[in-house]
Amino acid sequence: MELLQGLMSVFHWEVLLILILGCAAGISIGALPGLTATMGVALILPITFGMEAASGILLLIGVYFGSIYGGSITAILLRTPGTPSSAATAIDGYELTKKGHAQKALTMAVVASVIGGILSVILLIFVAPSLAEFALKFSAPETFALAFFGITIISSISGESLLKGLIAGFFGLLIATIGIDPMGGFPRFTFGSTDLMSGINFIPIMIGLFAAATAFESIEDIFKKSVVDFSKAVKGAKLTWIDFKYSIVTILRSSGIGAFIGMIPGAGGDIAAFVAYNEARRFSKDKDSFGKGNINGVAAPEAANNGSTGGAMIPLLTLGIPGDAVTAVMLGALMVQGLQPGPMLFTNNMGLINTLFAGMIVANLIILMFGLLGVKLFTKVLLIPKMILTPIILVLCVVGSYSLNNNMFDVWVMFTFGLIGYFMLKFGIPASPIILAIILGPLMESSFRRALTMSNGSYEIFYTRPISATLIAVGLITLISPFIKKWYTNKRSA
Amino acid sequence: MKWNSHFIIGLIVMGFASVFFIQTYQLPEVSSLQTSAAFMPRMYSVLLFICGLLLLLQSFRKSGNIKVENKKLLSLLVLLLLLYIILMPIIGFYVVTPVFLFIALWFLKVRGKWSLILVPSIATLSVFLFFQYLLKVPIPLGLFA
Repeated sequence: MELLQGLMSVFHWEVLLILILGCAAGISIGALPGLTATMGVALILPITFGMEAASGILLLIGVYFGSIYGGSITAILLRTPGTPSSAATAIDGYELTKKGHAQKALTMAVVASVIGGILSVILLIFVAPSLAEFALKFSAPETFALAFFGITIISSISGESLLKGLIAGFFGLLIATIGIDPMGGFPRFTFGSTDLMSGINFIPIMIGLFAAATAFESIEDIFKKSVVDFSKAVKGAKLTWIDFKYSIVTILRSSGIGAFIGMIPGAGGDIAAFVAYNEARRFSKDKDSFGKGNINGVAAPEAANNGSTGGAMIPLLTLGIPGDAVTAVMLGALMVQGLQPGPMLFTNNMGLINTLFAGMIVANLIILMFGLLGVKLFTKVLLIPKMILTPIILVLCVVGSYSLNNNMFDVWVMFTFGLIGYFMLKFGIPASPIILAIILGPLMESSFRRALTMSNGSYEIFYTRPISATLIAVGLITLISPFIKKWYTNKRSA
Repeated sequence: MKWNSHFIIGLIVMGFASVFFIQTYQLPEVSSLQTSAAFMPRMYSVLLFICGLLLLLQSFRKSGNIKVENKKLLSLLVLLLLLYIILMPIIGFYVVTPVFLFIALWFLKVRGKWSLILVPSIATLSVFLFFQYLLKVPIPLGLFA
């Protein structure tokens, strides 16, 4: 089979070395808050110009896949998503760390990520063209429906108080409207400031809300000895076969969710992770444990975000339409190498494509190796005394926020949201709804308005189109279900 | 009126929502065939206002009081961070960062000579190597530009 030929061409030491370097760079970039997968790929891109096509693309793939996994490390250990795709992982991941189960969470993160990644590559290899057609059916109404569904997930991640979650969500939605209105071109809520004209970038917000806020909070008990026991003797510290079996269905489902969402142009790992988290909770027999350290709360988003990598490559390779921001950068890489993505790519350059497929699988295996080897090393971070770690984290927050746009304004955003995030932590308002709202809000609004323009103001377009109607219905069910559950339990106890 | 945290936060949320709502009237109205720029923000601010109100009403039943430990230390470090951010574009990252780290470690009662010297140096050096050298991400240099 030609795929075997592709595999053979990957197992040359130069190619393997490139993949290893790419994955290592990717994991490091992903782990650092402030550096995202998109940035990582964009930063490494110029290096690939002088390389051969296959090697160059594989280097980028290594960085891409590695960074999507890497974000989980800091998300779990420090409640700081290294990349937006790991924002959902931080919810249960950090709770597991607090219980002393960091090793289990980290191991699950890498295993789930790699399974998600490999499954999505297999999907890519076997069913790419037909799936790409499905992705194309997505127009403004469907995108709105997906974004709307994504927003309703807020009810799932609100934890104890839905009201507080909604406050965070609406607050995030409002913040997301700051800037120049994409449809009309008129500045909104800029209060005369030029910095606010392009809106508030959500990466500094995320760094502030998660990293800085957690750092501030840790100052409160910084002198107390760590109550968490890190010895291996702690029950549940390591990932066991039983844990894995418990999570297999979740991982498989989440990989599928990730691959499908990755395929949709404009939707990437971050959305996939939250949707997978939501579905994992919906199908779980132990819903209330989500948010308190359920291992599936780590498995689901990690399988989904890596699953979206293969998914995003599908429209990229088959149609030349990027599935997410990173693949948009890769489109540039492909074209610089003289490759035109689309149906022609499969007829003219099958050898290269097979090398890419094989390389993607090997990249995932390399990530598995790094991840498993690194678990012990990563958990050592927790042994660093908080007095030393906290100032370092604060410096990283500043550097990370600055490196986005070489702009001190982003650092101020981070600082402000660090303070806001701290008070939210004290008062019990969850931070994830804000992130979800900021990621999806603009998408939801612009696709809503575009859809209405398409239908000349008629709302019919949303419920007459099957995909859109289904997604909106699922979203409404997600939103209403906590209320129904409460009403039901009240009735039963009466 | 119970001045507990539910009440205060509810009030803040309502205030925030109102400011935004009022601001939407500065946006241009459009013909009925298009949706205006004010549509979604208005909806969000109204919903946010209602949530804030509900939270405020909850304050009569629930009482959530916030406790902050180490208040002085926390405020000192936040102020230090503030100064760090203000001074960075002026004096440059590579000067303010080691100083910030040193002072922060000192406030946090770190006294080991090795820690006080090594941590700021290694941290600053690592940022230089990884961000500026490897990734070519520019770092503010301030006076040294």
